[in-house]
Amino acid sequence: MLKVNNINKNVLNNSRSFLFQDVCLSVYPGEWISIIGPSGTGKTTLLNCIAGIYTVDGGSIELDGVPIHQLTERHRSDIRRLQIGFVFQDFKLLPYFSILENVILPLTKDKKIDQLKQKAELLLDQVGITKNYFHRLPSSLSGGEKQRVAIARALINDPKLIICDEPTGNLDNENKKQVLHILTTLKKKGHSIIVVTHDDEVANEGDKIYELKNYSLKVVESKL
Amino acid sequence: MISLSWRRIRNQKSKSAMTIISITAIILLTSFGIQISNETKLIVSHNLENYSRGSYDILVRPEGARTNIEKKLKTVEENYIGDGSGGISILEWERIKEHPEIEIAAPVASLGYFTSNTASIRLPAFDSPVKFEYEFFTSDGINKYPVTPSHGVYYLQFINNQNLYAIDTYPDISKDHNPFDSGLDISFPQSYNLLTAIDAESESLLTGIDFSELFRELTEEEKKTIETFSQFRGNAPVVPILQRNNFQVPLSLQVTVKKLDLSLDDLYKRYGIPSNESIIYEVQFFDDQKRKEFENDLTELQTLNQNTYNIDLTNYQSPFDAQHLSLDQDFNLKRIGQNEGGTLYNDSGKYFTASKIDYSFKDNKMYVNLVEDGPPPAYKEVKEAGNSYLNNWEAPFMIWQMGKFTAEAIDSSLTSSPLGIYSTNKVKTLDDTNITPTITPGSFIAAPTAGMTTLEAASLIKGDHPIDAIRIKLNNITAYDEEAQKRIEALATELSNEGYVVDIVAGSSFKNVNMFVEGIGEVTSPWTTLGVSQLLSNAWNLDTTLSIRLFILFGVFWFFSHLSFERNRLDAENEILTFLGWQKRSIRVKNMTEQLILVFISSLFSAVLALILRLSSLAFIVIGCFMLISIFLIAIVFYVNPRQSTRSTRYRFFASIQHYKSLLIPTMLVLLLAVCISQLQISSIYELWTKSSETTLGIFILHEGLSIRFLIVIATILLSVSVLVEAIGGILFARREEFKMYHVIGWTEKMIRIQFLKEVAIWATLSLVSGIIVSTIISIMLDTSLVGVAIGIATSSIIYLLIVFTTVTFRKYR
Repeated sequence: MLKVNNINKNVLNNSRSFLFQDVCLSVYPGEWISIIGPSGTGKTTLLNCIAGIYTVDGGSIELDGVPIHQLTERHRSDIRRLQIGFVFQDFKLLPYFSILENVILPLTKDKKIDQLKQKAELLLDQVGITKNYFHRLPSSLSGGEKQRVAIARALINDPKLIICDEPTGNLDNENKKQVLHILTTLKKKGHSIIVVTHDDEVANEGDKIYELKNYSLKVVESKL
Repeated sequence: MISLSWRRIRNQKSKSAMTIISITAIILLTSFGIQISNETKLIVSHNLENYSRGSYDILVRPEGARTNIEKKLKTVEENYIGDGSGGISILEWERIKEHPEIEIAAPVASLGYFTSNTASIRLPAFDSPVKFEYEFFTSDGINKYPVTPSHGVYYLQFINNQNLYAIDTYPDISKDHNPFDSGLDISFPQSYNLLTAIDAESESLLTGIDFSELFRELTEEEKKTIETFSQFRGNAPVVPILQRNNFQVPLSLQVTVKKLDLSLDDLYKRYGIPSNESIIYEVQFFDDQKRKEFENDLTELQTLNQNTYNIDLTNYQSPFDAQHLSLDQDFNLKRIGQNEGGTLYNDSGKYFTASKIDYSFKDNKMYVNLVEDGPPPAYKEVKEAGNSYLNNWEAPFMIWQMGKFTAEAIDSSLTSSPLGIYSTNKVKTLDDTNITPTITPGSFIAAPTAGMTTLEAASLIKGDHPIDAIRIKLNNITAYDEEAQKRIEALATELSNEGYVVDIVAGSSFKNVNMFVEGIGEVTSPWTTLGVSQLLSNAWNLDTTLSIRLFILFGVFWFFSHLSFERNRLDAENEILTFLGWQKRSIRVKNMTEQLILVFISSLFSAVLALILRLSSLAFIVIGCFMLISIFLIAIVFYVNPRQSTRSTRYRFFASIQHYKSLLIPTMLVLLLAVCISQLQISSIYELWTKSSETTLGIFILHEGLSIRFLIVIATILLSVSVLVEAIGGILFARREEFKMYHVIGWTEKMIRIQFLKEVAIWATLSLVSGIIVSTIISIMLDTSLVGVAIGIATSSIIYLLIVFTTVTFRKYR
């Protein structure tokens, strides 16, 4: 489903200095890929490149055969909005919108709000957020609840690929387990998941574990 | 998209409300400011056009007529044409009045103070012997001055079919004592009345006063009387005059009545007077020794009782037709006819001229010194002129009153048209007491003219060049507009080139002048500034236009600054939306929509408030313009990406200022403009206050524009505060991670606050100083005084204090 072939990323437009080089990665439907590695090696940047937020300085990225690296920014945004779900360590919920509004935010331009709301309520229910929280602002939620809302937002577009950047980094053990449970369920439902993490427990949930180190990405463990 | 933006606005209620209120305030104040500015400009222009032209446009005086005080203060005192010594001939006047630009050329010649006719007041005849002691007083409003020596009049008895014999003992019982005179008729003191010559026709056109009676046909009776009088005056030519009706110079009579303890029978016996004769009548036949003896007897008489009466004669004076008065036994005053008795004393061939008051300056204060102590005191050199017929039975002329005229309400309260001879404006002391002219020619207050005569009479009295001034009104001028000013200036220049002293009087206004007058104290007198209205009007227009324009500029920068902060705040949100797959264009449209909604709501509020406040349709034009400018600014702010800040080694100590310059520059511009507006407004209010309050027209203009000026200052300061709060909040928001880091590494909140305060102090000081420099340069260009500039700077410093206060009290440092 996702094919990353020999992509390079330079540091701040400096063509002589690579952040990573010749990175290759394949992700199939229902597969969980964990990426680990020391800080500053470019794990988040790699995710941003896969999502089409950043452009690459070499190589190719294909999602369901669509060459993301060749698309315009507008089309990359379309793919990200319609086919990819994002989960961040710091949740990235907009403080001015209610929980329900945050969940529907990605598709507000594409679908009718009422339809989205129904779906958002369903998703929130699935991730364990009770109805009386739907119209509250994110500031009224705990960290674990915020992350579950973020996962619900990531699912609003029925993504083929869910990209998670340290999804449990800000959570306690109990909340971490809840989030992992949700992600595992999603994997079972056929969603492809890429997780960047420092947490071994989270990384071990992956079918394959990659390490980004010394500018290159290498498989360190494969359960397949 | 709209619903999404609306939700964001709704979820930030206080912030959105603050923005809407600020935008509404800017729109309404700008509309209100422009409207007030236009309306006031119209009112001022209307008043200037309709009133400041006054009665005439140009004042022409002979060479050297400008006094030193006039040169120094550029103002003229009241009735300044009085006491003139002439200089322009009748021929010159006739030539000037033929000029094609001139509609009216009204000459005026001050002839001097004429003693004119003196009538009498009849004392009451009591049944028993009495002694009247009487004295006349005048007043300058502060002090009372005797104008005659105290007289003692003895009235002893009433005998049927005989005159009211009384005897005056001042200074003694004279040998010339005339028993046939009515001794109870006491003469008014001699008064001195300013006589002015005019051309009746042009003066009527100028003032609207009818002077035609000067040329009326004399009655047969008048002709006979004149002929009779003229014989005793060497056939003196007759000077026709019109007497001013409402002539009021303070004069009072104090009479003490002493009832005497006297037996008339004893007197008859003692002096051997026949019982059927009047005692006082017989005194004329006494020899010197007997008369002295009689006088001593009267002096030694005991008084049984006495009463003193003060009778105000101010409204009973009639300088040229001398009406007789009488007092009844209760000392009530009434007018009596010429044939009912009285004594008419006429010496109108004699008159007096007075010099101008010699004003002196010491330590920038004006002083007027006494020339003669009096009483009453004199402040001018007085010279006797003419010829009393009593001395040589020949007079140079003989005054004959042809009628009366009334000069009332000639002066406007707003602007002054100094006709120079009619004014009765109040001169006051510091405790608000009115100072009045006394009956002497040397009086401090220049008395208005008491009588009018012809130019021919002026030539007879004053010589070939009798005219002191010509007041000129141009033809075909309906309003005091720019074209009129040009024509007036052209004619003034032409006449000036002919050697006359020429002043443009159109647009004159009163100005209060303070001075110290010896014997009176400090007084305030309404003098006349020549041509002040245009100056004030120009200054006002320039000031207001500048204020409104600066405020509009301030509003634009404020909104620009607000948008910059908003864009900065949106950065984090934009990042999330980007992650979520939003296109940049969609994010931009969302952000712009939100700002446009705020502008739309504010404009809607402004329109509703404009209707409620009944602002003119101009408000809707302003709203429309603001919406267009807003769309333009929103597009600029959200389409143009700020340049990425790059660290330079030059900025080590306060690198943050360099780093956040995209946020700080709009704030600094807003502060700079706020400082400019506050300083210029306050210094301009101070200047207008001091300069305008000197003149009535200035006070009018000041009051018309004061409210909007204060509103602009207050709004500017309040909006500056909102910008400051937004700026400091925005910078803190942008640097929240940085401050968290400071906190993590062990800095206390106080340390973070002080560090931030130092940074704020740098950019705020830079804005303040730049603002002060810019506005000081503008102030200097506008001729603002240093005191005004200093007051402006002090006021604008309030903004600086607000910055410090906001920074110190801001809570969100962590």
